[in-house]
Amino acid sequence: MIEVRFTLNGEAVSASVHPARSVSALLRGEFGLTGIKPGCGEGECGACTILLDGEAVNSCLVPAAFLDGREVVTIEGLESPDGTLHPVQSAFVDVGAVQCGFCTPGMIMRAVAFLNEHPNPSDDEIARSVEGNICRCTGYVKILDAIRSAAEEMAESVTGVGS
Amino acid sequence: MSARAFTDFVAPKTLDEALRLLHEHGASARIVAGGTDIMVRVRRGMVPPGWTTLVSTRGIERLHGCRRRDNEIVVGASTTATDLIRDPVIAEHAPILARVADRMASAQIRNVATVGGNLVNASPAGDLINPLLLLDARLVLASLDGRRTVAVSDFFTGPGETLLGADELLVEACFDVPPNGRLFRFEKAGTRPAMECSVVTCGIAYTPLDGRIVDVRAAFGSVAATPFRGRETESVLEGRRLTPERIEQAARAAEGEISPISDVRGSAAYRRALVGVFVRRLLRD
Repeated sequence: MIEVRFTLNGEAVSASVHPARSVSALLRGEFGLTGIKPGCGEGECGACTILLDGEAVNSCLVPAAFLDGREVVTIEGLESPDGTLHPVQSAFVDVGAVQCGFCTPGMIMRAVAFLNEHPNPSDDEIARSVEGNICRCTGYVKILDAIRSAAEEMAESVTGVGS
Repeated sequence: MSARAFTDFVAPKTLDEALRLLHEHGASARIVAGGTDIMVRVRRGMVPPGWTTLVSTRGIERLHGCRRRDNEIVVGASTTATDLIRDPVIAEHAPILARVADRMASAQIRNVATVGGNLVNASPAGDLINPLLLLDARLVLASLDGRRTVAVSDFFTGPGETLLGADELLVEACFDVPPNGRLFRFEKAGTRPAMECSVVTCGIAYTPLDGRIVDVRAAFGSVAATPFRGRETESVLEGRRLTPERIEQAARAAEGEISPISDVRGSAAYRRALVGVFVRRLLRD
């Protein structure tokens, strides 16, 4: 077993992990973070997307042994301490970008990483941003609308307009 | 399936330490860089019982990133696809690598998948291999006994098989800084633009000179047991003018020197036709 210490949703944690255990299995199994959805388990669907040192990754493909010294944010850690939703979360609610909801946490985590890197994205960039996230319900239109809406909201809050 | 595959995980901090571990463990050790291949193997229960120790190269600083060294560009084995897309040295000297990396898989995978992993896993469809063939990259393999350099075009011996010994580590890929005016062209086909396992990859590089093209290199993927340099196609084109007849001859040479199979992603006939189309397109446009 390998001992790892890392930051999980802002909190210092430690765990003892098997060499080939995935981050998704560890975080769901030991930490109860079931917002990580184990869709395909092979990096195809994106439902288990988390932020690792600020970058979106498929948590099913990352060995938990890699976590030592790193920073993890999951869907559970996205809202503010006072319970205010992240603008991407609010946009998904407001636009109605959810049907069955299974892909939603992964979509949101990917969108957060994407908007951090591209604060003013084009429609094409938004469409490409979810290339690694599969949704079998919505046809993606509302998901893309929600990401666009979140981008606008985040841009406004940065410039102070509308706050 | 087994999370029980592998009983040990070691994370050396230096290259020497990693090479000592590989020397000690031999074929029971497997390198894990990004994890995108090994974790799928674990999940599918495809880890042979003999593989017991995962050796993580993540902590070895010098394997990460790209740099210029005299007249060559060095790409560390742990460089991720995302690193290639963002790297200023690559943007300046080998943007073809960034372009191909940007069309690989998804952002989530590009953020962890490495150049070294793409090479060592030796998939006939490994996307980053094509531009490395066009760049005539050399691979530096290290073991406790020393280092050797092999051409990327000699590295692959079969699907999933390479010249890398059990006690060797792929340290870096390096290539000469391409001369000004050199052109790199690349096409790939798959079932959709993202997350596809390529059905055909085709790349051509050359330098225009007085109405002719010289130092021609062609590279093909997913159309033979390994990615490979298209020497026949190259020799048809070397030193020639790009006339319609010459382009046609090159397309036929390419169709003739590949040996595609039919599988779930496409038939051999489709792949052969597509290679011809790509060669014509890359030379015309």
